[in-house]
Amino acid sequence: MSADADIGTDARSSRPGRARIVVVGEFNSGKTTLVNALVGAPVLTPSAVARTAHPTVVGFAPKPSLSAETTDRRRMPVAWDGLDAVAPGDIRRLHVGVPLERLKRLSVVDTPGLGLADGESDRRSLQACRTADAVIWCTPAMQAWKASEEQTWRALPERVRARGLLAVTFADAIASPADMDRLMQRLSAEAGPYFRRVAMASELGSLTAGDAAVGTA
Amino acid sequence: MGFEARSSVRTAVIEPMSLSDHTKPDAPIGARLEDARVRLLALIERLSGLLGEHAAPLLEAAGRQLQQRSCRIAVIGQIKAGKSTFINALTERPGFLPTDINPWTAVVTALHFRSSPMPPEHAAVFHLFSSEQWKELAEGGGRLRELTERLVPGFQPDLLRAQLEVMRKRAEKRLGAKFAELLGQCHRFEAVTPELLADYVSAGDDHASGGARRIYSDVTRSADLYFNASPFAYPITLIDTPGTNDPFLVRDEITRRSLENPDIYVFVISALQPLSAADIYMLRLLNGLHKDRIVVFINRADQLPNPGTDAAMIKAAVEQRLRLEFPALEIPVVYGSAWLGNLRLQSDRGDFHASLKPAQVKVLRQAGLPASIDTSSHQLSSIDRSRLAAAMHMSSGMREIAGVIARLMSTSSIAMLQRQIAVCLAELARSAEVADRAELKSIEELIEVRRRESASLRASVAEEQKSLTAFEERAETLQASFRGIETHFKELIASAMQMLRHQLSTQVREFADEQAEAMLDALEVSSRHRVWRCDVLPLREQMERTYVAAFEQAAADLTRVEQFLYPQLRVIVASLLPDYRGTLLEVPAWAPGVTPSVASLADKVAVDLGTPWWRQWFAVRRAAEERADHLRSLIEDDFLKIADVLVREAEGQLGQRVDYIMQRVNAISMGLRTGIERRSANLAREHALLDGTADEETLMRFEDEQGRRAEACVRKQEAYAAALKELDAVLEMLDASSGEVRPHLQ
Repeated sequence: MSADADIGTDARSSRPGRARIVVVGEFNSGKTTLVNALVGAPVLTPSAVARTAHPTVVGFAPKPSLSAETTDRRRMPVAWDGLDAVAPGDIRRLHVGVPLERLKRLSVVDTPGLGLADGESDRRSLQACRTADAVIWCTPAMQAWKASEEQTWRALPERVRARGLLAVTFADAIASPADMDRLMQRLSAEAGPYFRRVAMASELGSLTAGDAAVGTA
Repeated sequence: MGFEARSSVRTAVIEPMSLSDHTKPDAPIGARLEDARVRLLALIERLSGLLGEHAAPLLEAAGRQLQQRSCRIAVIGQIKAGKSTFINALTERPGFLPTDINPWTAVVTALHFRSSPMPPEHAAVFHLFSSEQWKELAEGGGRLRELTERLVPGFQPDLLRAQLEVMRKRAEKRLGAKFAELLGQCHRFEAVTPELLADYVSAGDDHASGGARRIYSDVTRSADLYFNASPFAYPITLIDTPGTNDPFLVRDEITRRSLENPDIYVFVISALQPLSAADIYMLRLLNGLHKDRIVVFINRADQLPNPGTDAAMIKAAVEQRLRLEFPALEIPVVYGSAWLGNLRLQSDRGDFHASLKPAQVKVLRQAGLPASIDTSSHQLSSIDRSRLAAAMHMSSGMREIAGVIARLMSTSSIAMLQRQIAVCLAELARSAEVADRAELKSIEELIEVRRRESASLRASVAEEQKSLTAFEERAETLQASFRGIETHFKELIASAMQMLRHQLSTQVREFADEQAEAMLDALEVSSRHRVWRCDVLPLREQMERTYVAAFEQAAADLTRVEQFLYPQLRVIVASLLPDYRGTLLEVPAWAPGVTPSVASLADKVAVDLGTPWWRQWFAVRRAAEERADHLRSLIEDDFLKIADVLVREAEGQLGQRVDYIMQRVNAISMGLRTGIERRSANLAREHALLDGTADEETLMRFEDEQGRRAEACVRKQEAYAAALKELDAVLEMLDASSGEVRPHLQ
């Protein structure tokens, strides 16, 4: 994997100097946990019930901040507990600013979980993939790669899939390393053809902005 | 929202219970139904000795149904939801059905539990695909292939093709030269072993150690396993399915086909991803006519990071979602862990608790595990182990779901069948008693006449004979009119079904037109937006509503006509016994609420195929009108076929009801008639006896004869009364156990 120097070489990126990783997957598939791992700090709180309601961009800011971007592209600062004041329909996405050196080169987007029968929310999550430098699809180890995941992923345009990584989350729930090997073998065979790479989420925690950009090369 | 600052209200879901509560053994599942079954079988035995030949076919049929009818419980859900693990826990056979990190179950497996002193003839029977079926599936892709072919002619989806190729090659490699001759075979075994299950039932996964053994599973169509020792009181058949949402499309198809006709569905979902769109879709398909037949089990609670605190949140979220999607239903939801349910069954091992995580121990404490038991100790005393196992049983949810299954069983069609049989037996007994009492009355009258004035005896006998002949004529006319009514029933069904067929096909055509229009509009607005999809769920729901309404209407019409039949029978009874006050024919022959299967509505249709297929469909260049026509015919072809299956199903069901009604009235009227005929024949003999020599000796013989008959009548009446008392008790029990269901369902 190359060094951070590669960042932003991708012409498609509208954020010079910053690579964007979008994390998608069905609800409760460990996206938020992976986002935290990618950011390198527990910025977002994972939950056992689906709670991420808007795409949430975690990026650099000199001091911790939270703002909502409305559908007409205006940004308004929001208090940490003041989200309810903004009508949910008006919010396009949320921006969380964190003073982490790492985020000067990398932003990570958490998305609402797919497959909750809310077509609109699914559409917004998938929309977020289109401008990403790398897209990570999370699939939980205990119930990995179902037909619904495959269908949603394969419906994305080829150019998005070319930047895709399949991340196996919750690997610690699988006690036996031999089982994990066999799972990875199945995923390589069944899902491998549609991704650039299949990996355990724990291997992706140290993914750098540079790696993300390499994903697009 | 996922911010640290936003905390959610968290409460523990498992209420502490005292250990004495859960060490008390529960009645095994189906105890009441089994009790009713055994008692009804004994009653059939008793009554067939008392009733005449006319009742034999009815009694035999009832006995057969009671013997053969097991309760079918289908365990369904998405792949890897833990269905096999759940079955192992419920049947108290930890590790029996193998589980695996990858989807393991490839075959629909029926586990038959029946306690009987006789060992089953075979422990395992595996049916392999016939060569036609295999050819259709492996070479043609079966129904799936047919659907995709129709959606995009000439286009074989690469995925399906690749999967079939893998399956075919693997089967041929494993089975070698004998491959062709194996097809169509049925393999029987006297014992079930893990190797056997791996050979026939496991999904092909050559990555597994010993993968070379999995030789027959690709060509196995179904598996039946038989158990003599049962943890259940009533005979139960558990159906394990490979699971839906399987990326291996052929398995997905196999699962859908197994959804037909179970009495109860246990819908297993994972606590980690509770109730996804795929789950809701499946529940919608099931929900139709199986309204009270579903229980949701939220499994894998043990794998949550905070099993104790997340439980309430997840259960509430699932319940809320179910209420939102199905406002008219009360679907019971049980939360737990089949893994824990299996673990508690292994408490004979000193270290069975070694794999418990601290968070899980916390949950066990909440379930009543005393703080004095140190779960970190490697060796626990047997008392501590059994207390730990009790707490595991509690928090595994297995105890609760056993209770729900038992309650669902008591309102299932089995309970209704038993009720029906009990009512039918009671009516046969009562009508026989009527004939009997009438006989006794006439005997008593004759004896009275003989005592008063022997000369007029002959005249009385003649008079009695005359009135019996009148009865017989009346009964004869009545039976002729029954035949007329049967014809009327059949006409009624035919016209109702013609109407239903018309309604359903109109709905299909209108829907197809609307969709074609909608697609044309969508293409006009944005020709770029090519992933327009056709959702046929509204059509499925509409057809289901129409179907259920039409069926219920037809059933109500039958019941109305049925109500005309019974007063005529009661008139006969009243003319035999004017003072008869017993209940007879008061309830309709068929309990309301039993409706036929809508399983065919769940059939996969062409437009159900996923987005990649639609993309391909749109990729084929075609004029807009042509495309619309194609879409229209895709919908019409599939759904008109489904409508046809539905109508035939309803026709069959209604026909069965009519048969049953006719059997019932015929058995009763025949019962009365044979009673009268017997009496007439006796009187004719006695009349001849009295004719000519009316000497004292003959009269004495006559009186003796009458006396013996009277005694027999009294004895039989006592037997009938005892049988009726027992039947009342059975009915009361069946009513009581079905009545307790509602309030518990919350």
